[in-house]
Amino acid sequence: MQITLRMMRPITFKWAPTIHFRRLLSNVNVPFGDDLAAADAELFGLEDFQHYRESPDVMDKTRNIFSEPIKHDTTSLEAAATTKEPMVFVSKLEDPYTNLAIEDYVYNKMPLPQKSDLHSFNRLMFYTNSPCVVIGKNQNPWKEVNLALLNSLQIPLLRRRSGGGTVVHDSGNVNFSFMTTKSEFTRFNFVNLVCEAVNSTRLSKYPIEVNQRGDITTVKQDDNISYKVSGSAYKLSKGRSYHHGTMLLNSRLDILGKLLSTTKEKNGSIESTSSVASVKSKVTNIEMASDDFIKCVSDTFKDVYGTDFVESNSKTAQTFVIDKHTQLNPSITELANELRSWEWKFGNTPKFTHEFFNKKFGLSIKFHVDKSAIVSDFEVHTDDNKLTNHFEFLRQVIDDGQAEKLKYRGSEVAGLITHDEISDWIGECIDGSV
Amino acid sequence: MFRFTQLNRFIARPVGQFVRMNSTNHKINTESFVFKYLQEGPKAVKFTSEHEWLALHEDDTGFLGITKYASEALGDATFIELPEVGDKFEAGESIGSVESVKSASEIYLPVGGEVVAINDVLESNPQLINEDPMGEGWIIQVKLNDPSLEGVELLSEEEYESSLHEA
Repeated sequence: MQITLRMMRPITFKWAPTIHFRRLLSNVNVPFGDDLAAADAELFGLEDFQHYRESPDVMDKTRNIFSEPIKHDTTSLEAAATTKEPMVFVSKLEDPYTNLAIEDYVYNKMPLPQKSDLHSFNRLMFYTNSPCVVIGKNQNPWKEVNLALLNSLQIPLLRRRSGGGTVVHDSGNVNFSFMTTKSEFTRFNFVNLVCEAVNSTRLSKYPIEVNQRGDITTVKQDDNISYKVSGSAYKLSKGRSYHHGTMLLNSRLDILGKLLSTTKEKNGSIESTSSVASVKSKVTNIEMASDDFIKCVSDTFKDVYGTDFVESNSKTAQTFVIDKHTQLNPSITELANELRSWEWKFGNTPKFTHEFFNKKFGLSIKFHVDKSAIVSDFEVHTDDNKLTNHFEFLRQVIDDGQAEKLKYRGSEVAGLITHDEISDWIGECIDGSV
Repeated sequence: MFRFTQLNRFIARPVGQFVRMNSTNHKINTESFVFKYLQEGPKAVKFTSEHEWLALHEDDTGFLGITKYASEALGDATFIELPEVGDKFEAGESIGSVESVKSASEIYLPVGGEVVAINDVLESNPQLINEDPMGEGWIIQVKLNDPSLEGVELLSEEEYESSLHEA
């Protein structure tokens, strides 16, 4: 009688398959391991199975079934972004405005854990942009970037929402973005994770480490330099935070340097009581394939922040791939348009002055640029009094500029100067737009 | 049922700078403008879970700043983004941000109101927010829309400090 009772003991699972993508795996459950009582072993000779573990191959396979990328035709980006599970997002899109907008969207949609939740619903996103320059939230683009060169090469300038300095993106650079709660914010945990993940693959040209600023560098090379391979920046807002960074895999570093190099002669000099200046560092590529980098970092993210996956005694998380077929909802388009606007890119510069000197005419001009990048004043110094006449119209527009404020754009300012050559020169100096 | 793997060291507690704290004293600096603005000093000082403080005065204005805890957690401030005098905000809106060590951190106003003063010393000296976060490092002064503070969730000093220990 006792035996019958035991045989009828229902098989109980230690977790409930409540989440939709787990359900599909419920049939692969076996009453092995922890579910076996001592009695089962004794009565049915199952003791060997108490120590049963799948081989690493099988574990990998089950895990891959579980974490297979979600197809965008079955789940919307919105559903993935609001999932109460840790998630990985991989964008295959290249437009920098769209990628930054999606990052913002995923960040703001991330559900925050309630007291009853065991863990937070962290997100990890990867994206690679077509060539562009990205400045920090509170930086001055006229100071950081060679705007005239950018303009002539038609390379877009973006202002991101996180702090920090200026970086150049191209197809040889992968951006990662780790999102979590505000209370779990740290500057170091995620870069440590990236280093560990990359070093364990041995696919990087150099072993990498984290420096005191929280940036990833190579270990010290023969020339005694630790080359920077990744830059980090952070954002904290209501209840949430992100840490994103660049990873130089195979970037065109020669071009990269030129876009950020300005000279006093050509680009003038900027003075500002505030604004955040970039810290220049020597950089290099780790020469790793982009897919390998994404795989090793997302695997480590899953191991650390994923949900428990009892079948293979590991943790995992779903991956959502964003490509050109993914429906991007209107709020993403709106965010991207805001990032595209002159008001966001240039208008957010803290107030500054910009001065340049023209040898040929012996003329120097200094613009005072206020909040919203509005020209509030200018000073011209020249020995040739006749030249000052050409600035009268500009003076008039600024002085009675109550109705329409003059934006600090090369094309707008130059248009008000009535000397062709000086006008072209000033337009070129401001931002190369004439 | 968590199975801790060796990788859990990445999320080992205490989770970074935002949890650690050196101070349990969240009092307004009595020598600062925030305290001396009216002769009798602020009538109440309240806190938010986003680490702001609000010092309320008899004339229905309040000074807003970030707590000592937040300023220590964020590290050296490099830039303070301020609104303009005359700007109006709804309760819970972001009025600006603090940048420190490459992080941009939003500042929220817990009550609706109009900005009547900004601390523009912060434009040239952002580090004031680290030196005296609960005094001369105030960020804005607002005229409250509803001085009764009805329906506004604010914490007392004790409640705020105990919330820090919970984290």
